[in-house]
This record gives sequence, structure tokens and C-alpha cells, in this order.
Amino acid sequence: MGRHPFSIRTRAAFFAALLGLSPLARGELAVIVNPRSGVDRLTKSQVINIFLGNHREFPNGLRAKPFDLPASDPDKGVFYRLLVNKDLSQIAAYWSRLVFSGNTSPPTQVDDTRQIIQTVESNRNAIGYIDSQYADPQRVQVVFTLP
Amino acid sequence: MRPEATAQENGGGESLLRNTLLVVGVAAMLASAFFILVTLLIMQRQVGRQYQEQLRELTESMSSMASVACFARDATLAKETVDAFIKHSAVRRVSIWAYGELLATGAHSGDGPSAGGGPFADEKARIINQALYSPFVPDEKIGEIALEPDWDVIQAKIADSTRNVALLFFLLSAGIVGIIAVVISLIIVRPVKVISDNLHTLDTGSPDKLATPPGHEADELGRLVKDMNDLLFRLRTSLTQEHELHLQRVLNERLRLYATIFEHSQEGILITDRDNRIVAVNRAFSRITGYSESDVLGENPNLMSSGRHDQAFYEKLWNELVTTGHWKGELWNRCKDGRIKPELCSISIVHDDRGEVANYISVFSDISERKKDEERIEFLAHHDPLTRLPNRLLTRERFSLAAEAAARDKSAVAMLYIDLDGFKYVNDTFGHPVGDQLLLSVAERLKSQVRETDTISRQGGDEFMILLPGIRDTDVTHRITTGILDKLSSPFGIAGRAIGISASIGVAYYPQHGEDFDTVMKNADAAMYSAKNSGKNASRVFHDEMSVDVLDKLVLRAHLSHALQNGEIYIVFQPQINTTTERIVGAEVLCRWTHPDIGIVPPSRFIPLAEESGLINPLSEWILEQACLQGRRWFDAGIPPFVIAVNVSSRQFNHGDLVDTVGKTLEKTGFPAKYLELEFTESGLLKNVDHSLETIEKLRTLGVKLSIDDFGTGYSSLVYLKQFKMEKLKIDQSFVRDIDNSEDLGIVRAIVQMGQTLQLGVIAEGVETERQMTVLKSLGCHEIQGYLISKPLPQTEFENFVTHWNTRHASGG
Repeated sequence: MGRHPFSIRTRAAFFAALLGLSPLARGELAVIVNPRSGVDRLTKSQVINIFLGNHREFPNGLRAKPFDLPASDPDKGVFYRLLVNKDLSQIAAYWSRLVFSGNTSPPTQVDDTRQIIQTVESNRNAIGYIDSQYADPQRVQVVFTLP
Repeated sequence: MRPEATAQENGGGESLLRNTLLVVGVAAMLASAFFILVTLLIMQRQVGRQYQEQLRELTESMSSMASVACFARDATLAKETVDAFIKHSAVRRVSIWAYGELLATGAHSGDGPSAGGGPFADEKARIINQALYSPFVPDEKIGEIALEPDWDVIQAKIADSTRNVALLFFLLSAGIVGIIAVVISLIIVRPVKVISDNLHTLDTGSPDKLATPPGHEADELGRLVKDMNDLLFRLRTSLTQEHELHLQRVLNERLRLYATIFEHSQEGILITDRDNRIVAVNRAFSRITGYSESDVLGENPNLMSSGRHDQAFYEKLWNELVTTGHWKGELWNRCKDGRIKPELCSISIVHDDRGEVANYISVFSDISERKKDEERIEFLAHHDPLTRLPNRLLTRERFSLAAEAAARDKSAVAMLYIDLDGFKYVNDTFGHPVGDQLLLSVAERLKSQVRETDTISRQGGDEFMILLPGIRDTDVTHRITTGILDKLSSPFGIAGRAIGISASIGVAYYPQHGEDFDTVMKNADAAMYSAKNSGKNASRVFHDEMSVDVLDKLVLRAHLSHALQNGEIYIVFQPQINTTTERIVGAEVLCRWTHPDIGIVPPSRFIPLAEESGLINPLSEWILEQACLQGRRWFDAGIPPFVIAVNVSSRQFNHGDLVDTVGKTLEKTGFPAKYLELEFTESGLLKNVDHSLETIEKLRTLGVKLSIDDFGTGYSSLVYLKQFKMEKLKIDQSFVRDIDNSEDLGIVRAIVQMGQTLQLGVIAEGVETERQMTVLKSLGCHEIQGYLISKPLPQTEFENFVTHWNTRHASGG
């Protein structure tokens, strides 16, 4: 029943992945949090749990609110590829299964990396990922990097 | 027997089919049951596994979704996943665990945990567990699906499938059985039944063969039928041969038997062909006729013809033989030696198959001996064996012939009845052989005195009869009778003795003295008696007055037996007088017989007859009773009492129950015993002295008087006279009649004196003259009885006599 829209989405994700693979040379991706969050380090597993909705809390007990890039941003595809070795269509399929139950939701999507940084800078609970070259330690705390 | 067998065998034929089907059916059922069982087991296992596999696959296919739900801890999704599981009918309960906590669970609505038991009991425990791994971190177990299959459903499914399979198998088996049955029935049972039925109805006597069922000519059944036909043929052949052999044996046996019978028959057998030529004779034929087989073969049997039969006899014989096929009769045939023999002969015609005469069979026996015997018997039947003279039977025949002739020519037949005088004396004195010899000599002398045409016969004993036919002049008869008397009166010399006899001849004539033999003979007999009574050695011609005297004893006896009932016998009374007192002292009772046809028959004739025939007892009793009754009546009438004397016959005294009879009669009539006198004869008393003494003693006890009758005629023994204690002696009339004879006078005197000595009364009977009375009186005998006083009188006359006598003598005295 939900297969048709799922397949459309899968196709879109595929093209996005193709686009995302090309600028590999740009460097690492960094997971960032608000410096006031008290969190300075996260494990990969913790990152996965927060972004994929398993457990949205920081180790210190602070609620974690993930922000995501639009699919059009190649970093998104790279992020999920590196994090859980899934392409975006798979991630989309994952969320599509959960989205109706309402218990959990996909990370809030912003327009670009800049917005990610702004959100994280201003929101103590926020967490997002950016190209590590843009990670300004003054503004955001990198808690995990993808490779 | 045969229908039953048919039904059984038919039943057998059907049961072959039925049994075959039964066996095939049962085998198929067993096989299919076995297959079904095995299949069931296999299927149950397989289907169980299948379901397990299916469920495992289902679990696996759902695990990605479940792992997402787990990872996201999303109960809704988990519940959704669970619901998706539950949709599968074979799933009873599904639980999804995430990080050790139950995230979602679901079960078929209303279902509790499955009940235990069933073939999958061990399988039930096997809840399918599928580990759930994080969709993002490989190998990180984040939860688990626990799936409990619904074994009831699975089982039902299995059962369902099994049922279908079983049904399939069953139908398949049934189909196979049906096909096998049809095939067996068509190719085996039906032809076998056809053969069996044919065999059953096959007539073993006819040459029929068993038919091969169509289409089976070349197979085993065809061969079976062929072999059976061969066997049948051989069986028939053997049976036929056996039967023929048996018939041949029986025939031979029979031929031998017939030949033996033919040869050994005691009767002569003669067989001729259709032309009456002799073709066979047996031994008995040769023995009887003297002709050997070779003498007569080919000859006509008439070579034995005796000439004794006329042409008509032979014509009658042939006529009967041709008409009835049989003739039986006596033939006189001439033997080889010329003798002529009587033969009892039976001739039969034998016909051949076409009904034409084939043979004549003559069976005969020599009846010469029989003929002789017959003649001998014929002679004996008609002749006296001693004298060989004709007997009464032949005489009767001759009389008939003579009477016929006499009736024709108006002559007469004289019958001479001859009785020898004194023959009994000869027989008693010299013995029967001499008597017989005398009879033979008499016969010879009689023959010498008669004519050729006369018939002499012996009637038995010493009685002869001579028939003289054609008598026209009684002188002829007279001459012959005189000649006979003369001839017989000269002495006969027999056994060295000279024996003299004489004859009494009675003569009667047909038709004057009788129309038939018996009457004439009866009258001749009467005449003969008359001659004998007249003093013997005389002849008398019958006249009518003779008939009563000579009434045949048998006839008289027959009449006597009815005389009492018919009232022909009655009693009379003869008075007894005392000559001194001139009073009536008694009356002797005597009986009389007057026959309505014959007239008066004197006691001297009928009393002996009554004694011979046993009628004497009833007669005596009757007389005694009548006498006592009468005595009682007189007594009652006031007539001066006198003794009534009744004679007791010696037979009654010795054989009858005299004492009892007398006692009863006295009692019955009420007549005083002292007035009854019983008269006995001396001979009667002396027959059995002891018995007499006893009887007399008893009679005396009764009170009756006893006297001895006819005293002096017997061997009067003084000893007994004394012992018997009689009251009275009766002097026999023969002494009284001849009282002038000095010898008789002496006897009477002696009797009277003896009576006085023994104190016995004496009475004389048969007193007929005054002189006799006077003499008796002078001798001392005062009581008399006889015609001088009165003849015996019937009751009324006697009463008159008594009245008259008493009147006269009372007035006179």
C-alpha cells in the first residue's frame, strides 16, 4: 500500500546519492552541539540513536533535538552513508514506517548548513552535522566526526 | 436332490465372483489403508514442518519492520507488525520485545493458550524466536520476536489435507477394485460360470459336448473345456463298454440258467418252430415219452398222437391256442414203446418282435400216477374197502338210475335191507378179523343169489343193501330174499370154525314205499327191524305201521331234545296198594312222551336215548319236581297221604348231583320228605359202592325213603343190601308174570323172606291177575302194583281213581 510513494522516494534518494558522492574531497563531517549543552563528546552509537530517533537524550540527560539537511544537500547523503551505511532512500523508508505512529519523528529539516549552525548555536538541545571546515569552535561544539 | 445341487452349484458360481471381489476389495482396502496411514504420518510431519518453515519465513520477512519498531521503540509500529502477523491463521500469539521490554503483543481474539495433547504436543513448546537486530548497527541485538504458532489450526489444516488425500486414495482404491472385479468377472468368472452351468445341465447320456465360452477358444479356459470334453468322451466310452459287458454277462448268466432249467425241469418241454416242427426237447421229455432228441428233431409233434382224441378235440385245442395264445389240458400221448400216457399239458405261443408266431412251447407232465390215484380215490369213495362192494354213496347213485328206469317202464325197484343176526356176538367172541372174514363170505354168498343187474352194497357194520331194479313181480323179490335167507343160514367155515348166523331182511319198494332213496331206505330199515323183532331169520315187506317203531334213533333224539319245552312229556301215576289193609300206600311216577307226529314213544325207547345224550338229568329233575309239586297239591287238598315213588336213573345217581337236586326240590315244592320214595336199580347202586353209600346216607339224612327197583334181576348182594339200608324192595315184574313157574315162585319167596328178615318192605310190580295177587299174598308180600289195580294214570284220572278206591274200600272196610 505504501509501496508506490516509497518507490518514488527511493528513486529521488538514489539521485541524491549520486550527487552526494561526487564532492568527496571536501573533508570530514562533524556532529555539532550547543557549547552550553555540556556535552563534548558522543559515540557513534549515541549519534545514531539521536538522529534515528532511538534515544534523544544526551549522556548528561539533556534532551537532544536533531536537525537535518535537506536531501538536496550532498552532505546529508554522505552523513547517513558514513553513519549507518544507508542511502537516503533507505533512511526515508525507515522514517516513513515510523512517521504515522507519531511517537518519534525524523530530525527537523533546515535549509542548509548555515541554518544548522545557527540552530545549534542558539539551541541548547540542538544537534546537527556540518562539513567540518565550517565548524567554528566558538559557536558549536563538535562531539563526533565522520571519518 | 438335483434342484438342491443346482442351487448350490449356482451359488458356488456366484460366490466365486463374490469371493474374488471380496479378496481383491479387502486387499485393496488394506493396501490403501496402509498407504493412507503412511501418507498421513509423512504428511503430518511434512505439513508441520512446512508450517514451521512458513512461519519462520514470515517472521524473517517481518523482522526488518519489527527491528525498526524496536529500534524506534515505536509500539504503534510494533503493534502494526504484530497485527500483520496475527493475520496469518497459523499464528496464535506474537510478541515483540525491544531492549528487554515487551513492545507489543497480539493474539487471535478469544484464543487462550492451546490445549495440550495431539501429535504436535512436543512441537507446541517450540515458540519461534527471531532475534531483532538494529537496522543501523549490524550485529547489535535490540529485541526479539516471539511467535507462537496455532497448532490447532495447523492440525486442522493437516487433517483437512489428510482427509482429502485419504478420500483420493479411497476413491482410487475403489476404482481399482471395481476395475479388477469387472475384469475378473468378464475374463474369468463369467466364462467359468458358463462352463459350470453347461457342465451341470449336461446330460451324460447324450453325446453333447461342453460349449467353449466365446472368445476363450485359445486360452486356458478353452483348453479346460476341451480337456473336459475329452474326459467326458472317454468316460462315456468306458461307461458304454462297461454297460455292454455287464449286459453280456447278465445275458450269459441268464442263458446258462435257462438252459439248466430247461434241461433239469421235471416237466417235459417241447419247442417247435412256427411250422410246428420240433426244434428242441429236454431230458424230461425223453424220460416221459421214450423219444430221444434225435428221434424227434424236425418232426411234427403229432407223431405222438394216441388216437384217443378226435378231430374236434384238436380243432378246439388249436382254436383256443390261436385265440388266447395258451391252452391247458390233459392229453393222451403215445410213447415210443407204444404205451399211451395221460399228460397234463400246457401249450403257449411265443411271438417274435414283429408279433408273428415264432415258436410253440409245450410243457407237460406225466399224470399216469395221478390218474391211477384218482381212480383209486374214486373207487374208495364209492366202495366199502373191506368187501369192495359199492357203499351207500354209490348205491344212492345206482338207485337214482334204477328209479329213473323204473319210472320210465312202470316197473319198481326193490330195496333189501339186510342185517345179520348175532354178528355182534361173533365179533365179540372171535374177534374182528373173524368178523371181517365173515362179512366177506356173506358178501360172496349174497352175490351168488342176485342177478347181474342187481347192486349189492355194504352200509356199514353188519348191514347190507341190495337193489333189485326192474321188478314187475314181487315173486322175484320173494325168491331172492328166500334164497338169501337160505344161503346165509348154512354155517360159515372161518378160521377152522363153523359159524352159524342168520339175517333179518326188510324190503321196501320204489315208488310204492317212497319217492326217494332216503325214504325207501328208512322204510326198508323199519321192515328189517320188524323182521328182527318177529324172531329173526326172516324177511318182512314194509307196511305203514312199522314206521314209528323204527324211527331213526337220531331223529328221535332230535325230537326228544325239544320234547320237554314243547310239553310233549308228562307224568303218570300208578297206584300201589296194600292188599291186607286195602289202602293206597303209594304211587309210582312214570313219564310218557306223546309226539304230535310220531305218537306215543315208550320210555323203553326214549329213556336210553336220554341217557346217551345227557338229557336224562334235566328230564329226571323235571319229573322229580313235577311229582313233588303234584304230591304237595294232593297233600294240600287233604287227600289221605301216600308215598310218591320216583325212579332214579343210574346215570343220575352216579353222575348227577342227586342229593342237592332232591334237597332243593323238596325245599322248593314244600313236599314232605318222608312221603318221597326214590327207586334205585341194583346195577346203579353197585357201579360205585362207596359213592352209593355216601349218597344214600345223605338222602336218608334228608328224610326220603329209598327202595330197590327190579329186585332179583341183578347180582343182588345181601351184603350191600344190608349196608344200603333200603326201606323197600320191588320184585321185578318178570318174576311176578311167571310166578306159576316154580323157579320164579322160589325166587319171590326168597325175596319176601329176605325182606322180612332184614325188616324191609316188599312190593311186587306188574301184578296183572287175581291169581298172582293171591300167590303173592300167600307168600307174605302184601303190597302190589300193576294193571290188576290200575294202569298208570294221568293226574286227573289218578285223582278220580283215588276218590273212587277210597270210597269203595272205606265203605267196604
